[in-house]
Amino acid sequence: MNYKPGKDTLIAYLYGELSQEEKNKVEGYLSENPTAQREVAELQNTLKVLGKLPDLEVTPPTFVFNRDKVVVVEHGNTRIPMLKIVMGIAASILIVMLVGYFTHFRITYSNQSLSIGYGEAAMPSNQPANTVDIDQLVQQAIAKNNKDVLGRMEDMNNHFNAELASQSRERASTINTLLERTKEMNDNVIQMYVSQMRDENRRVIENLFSLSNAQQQRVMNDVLTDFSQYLENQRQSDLRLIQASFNGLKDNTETNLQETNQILASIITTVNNQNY
Amino acid sequence: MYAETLLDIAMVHADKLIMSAKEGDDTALNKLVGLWYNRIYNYAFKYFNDHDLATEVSQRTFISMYKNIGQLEDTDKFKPWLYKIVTNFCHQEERRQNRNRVVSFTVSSKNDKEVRMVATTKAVDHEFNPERSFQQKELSGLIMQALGELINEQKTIVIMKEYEGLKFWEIAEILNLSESTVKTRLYAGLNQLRILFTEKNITKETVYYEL
Repeated sequence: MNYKPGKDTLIAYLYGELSQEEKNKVEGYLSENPTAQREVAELQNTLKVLGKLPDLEVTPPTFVFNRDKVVVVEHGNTRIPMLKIVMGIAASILIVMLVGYFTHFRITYSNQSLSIGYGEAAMPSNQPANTVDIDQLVQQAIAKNNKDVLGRMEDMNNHFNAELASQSRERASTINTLLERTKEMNDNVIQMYVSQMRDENRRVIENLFSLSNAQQQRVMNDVLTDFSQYLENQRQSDLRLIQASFNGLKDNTETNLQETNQILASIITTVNNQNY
Repeated sequence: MYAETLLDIAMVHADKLIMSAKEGDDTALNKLVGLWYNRIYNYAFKYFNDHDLATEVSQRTFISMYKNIGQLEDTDKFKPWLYKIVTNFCHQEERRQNRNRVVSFTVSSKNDKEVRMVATTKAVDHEFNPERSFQQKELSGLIMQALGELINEQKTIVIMKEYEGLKFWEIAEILNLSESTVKTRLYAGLNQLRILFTEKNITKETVYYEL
């Protein structure tokens, strides 16, 4: 036999994906070639070992599909290596320090001030001001301000009063008109309601009458039917009773007849006996 | 192996969902994510043996799915289409990792022989038997290591066929290869795994003795 299956055929054989005819051919070949047979058996074992690797169970993340982008929401099974986190923090700190160094960033704190800035710190001028002038200026400013404020408060007060009075007048008139309108509407509504009620009541009573009529008819029908049925039953049972009485009478008559026959027979025999 | 669970059945019969998703229905899109996230994550996890990379690639895959699902013509080809996206992202991420290895703070280096699987696997079985659970994790770690030592084209095909249950024609379509090439590469990959398993002393006997 010159047949020798190729590797592709052997693989298909291992996975059971050959037609019956081809399978028979391969099996015939294997039975004649122990080396090939051993090779196939070893591959089968390899497949069995591979089959011992289980699947891992993972929770799928939720994908939020959107027209422009996709957001993936994971369910907390990520593992970021600790080293990565620590190195990340260290790198951030280093960057901040370097930027500070190159831009001459400085924070200065003296007994009265805290200054943050880039480059050399500017020293504040320490010349004392003329205190008397300042006092005068401040007092003038305060007096002027007070006057202004008082005037403005008075204006506002007047304005508010006028506004309040006009508003309360307006409100009173609005309430009055509203009340009148409500009263009118109420009257209308009550009339409509009453007429509606009347109509409804009439309809209800009509319905009730027709309904009760129908019901009474039904009840009468039922009563009549029941009564005729009762009569029929009664008649049947009477008939049965009469039949039974007749039967009894018939039985009695028959018995009487038999007894009479017996008596007659016994009389005849005694008469005959006496004659002998 | 690719078990026929309720979820798998739902995946196969998701035509209506895919149609609605194509029309821009957000709920349908999120349902598709719910159906496929686990598979895509596990595919990427087996590719990288790294949770963060797998999560990143899975999320990018579904974002790309959202943006491009309108262009998917045949709903029957959704599965190969999705795997094509994730495979492309895996390759892209792999190239990026190779470029950035020097500056990377993470420990996801290929030379790292630590069995990282041990820390992350949540074995479904053996929950009440610590010894078995430990052995299962150890074995999983060794298998993941062996997978990591395969060349990329073999690794991709092995994961697709063995763990994702894709058909040969689907894999061929995803990778733009002929079916025959896919099968030959899978054969080579399995053979390489056989050698690696022997080196690591994992055989059928030891596995079944332990588990």
